[in-house]
Amino acid sequence: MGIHPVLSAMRRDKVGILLIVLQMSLTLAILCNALFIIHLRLRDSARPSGIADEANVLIVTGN
Amino acid sequence: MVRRAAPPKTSDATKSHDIGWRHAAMLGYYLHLALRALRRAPILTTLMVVTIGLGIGGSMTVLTVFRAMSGDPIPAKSSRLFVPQIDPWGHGHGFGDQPPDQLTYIDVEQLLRQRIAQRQTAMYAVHFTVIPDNVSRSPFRVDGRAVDADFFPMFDVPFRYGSAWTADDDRRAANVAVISRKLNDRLFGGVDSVGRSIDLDDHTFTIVGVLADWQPVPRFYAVPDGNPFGDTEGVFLPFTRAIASHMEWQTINCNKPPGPSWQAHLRSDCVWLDFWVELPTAAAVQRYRRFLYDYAEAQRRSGRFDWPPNVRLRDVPEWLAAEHVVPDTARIMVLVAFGFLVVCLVNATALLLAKFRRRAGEFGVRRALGASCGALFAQCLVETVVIGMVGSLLGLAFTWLGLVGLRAVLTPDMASLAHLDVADVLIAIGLTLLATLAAGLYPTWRAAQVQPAWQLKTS
Repeated sequence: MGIHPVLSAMRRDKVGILLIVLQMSLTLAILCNALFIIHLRLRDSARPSGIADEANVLIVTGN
Repeated sequence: MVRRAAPPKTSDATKSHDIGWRHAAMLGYYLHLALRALRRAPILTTLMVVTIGLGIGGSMTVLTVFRAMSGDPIPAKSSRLFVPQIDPWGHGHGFGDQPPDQLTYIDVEQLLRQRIAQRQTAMYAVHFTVIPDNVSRSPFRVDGRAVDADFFPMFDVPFRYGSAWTADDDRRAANVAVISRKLNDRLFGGVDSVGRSIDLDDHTFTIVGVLADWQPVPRFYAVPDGNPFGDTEGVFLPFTRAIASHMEWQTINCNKPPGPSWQAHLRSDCVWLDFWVELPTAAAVQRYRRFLYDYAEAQRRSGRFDWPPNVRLRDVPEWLAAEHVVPDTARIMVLVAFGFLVVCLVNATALLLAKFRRRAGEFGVRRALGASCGALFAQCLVETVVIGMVGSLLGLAFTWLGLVGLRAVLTPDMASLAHLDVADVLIAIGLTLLATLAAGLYPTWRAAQVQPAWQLKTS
């Protein structure tokens, strides 16, 4: 037992390996970017409003 | 395992309709094989279909909203309607090199008086409290817009009852109003209310027209002082009346504080008014551009401006782009969504490859029994297309779910954007078929390359 059979199996099926590598790298790239965009958004919306007593500000609407 | 390997041989009289019949029969046979193969590996099939469906659902949900946002609100006239802009402040006042997106009353008064365009309207957004006749009902707030009589023919506004007011009403600053269908339903139960009166704040107006359903998306004429994806205003009234009644504006930008009186407000360099013109020919556009430039130049000579003329004349698409009506984040969302689709497709390709490779033995037998490479290719292609069809149906279902979810999350104003139309459905189906073929091309090609002798020996 060892790494050798794994490696030789991988050598035999180059396209399959390439596809898996492509799949993982692409998925990571796109998902990480999406998460980063979400993170930026959350950071922006969590910014303090600048109103002194934020907890006691009410909005009254009527229609 | 394989009942028939080669296509049924026809007699020597191979007429063209025989060939056609043979192709149809082969297609049916491949379809039968494909369904059997898919049933044999239900988990793998489900995984592929769900992967494709999720990718399509995600990207179509975003694309649908984006398409609704970036559509042409008035396709028949969008290249004939223009917004003139005049810089009343000089550079460095918050709009960069661009003139502000609204005009001062001084300039609007001049543009109205000169009447260079075929049709023209000044406008601004106003708010009212409507006091219903029936005292048992409580007053409510309604959005309005002060416009000129030309507004209605310019923007092809449809009427259910009555019509627009006249140019004479504009001159007299008449107390007339056009109300939306929604407000008419609320106040008058949907009956013809032309000639009846409506109380707005402390003014009484006579209704001259009721609009039919009219909702341009985006609301191109109300970008600077309204929500471009909001509902149509409830009330339209003459611009001259609004000015004479000192009606409050909704948006104003000033480079220095105006005086407190209404007269000082009108004479100030504050921008708070929208202006639209209709120019039917290229020559008219040219003439209007010239006029705007000359006007700004005349203002400079008279000493009001001390900078060279800085004017713009934008048609509807240019105006929507300059105002960033479709936010840049919406574009990024589309990119991210299609990135997600690519991820799903690469995954589907890997699954399809695994599936076809597992069946190399079956393909080897078919090849050994006389099926050509092309026949194998066709068989695998049919199987791919079947997966694509089921995937696109699932994708449509996911899109619908996604839009329902978006409608729940978006504000009511924006929710109207999240609707599927026929074009969206067609795009979704076309996109899935393209995507599945792209995903299936390599696995299919690989499957058709099976070496029968080698394959039979090893299996």
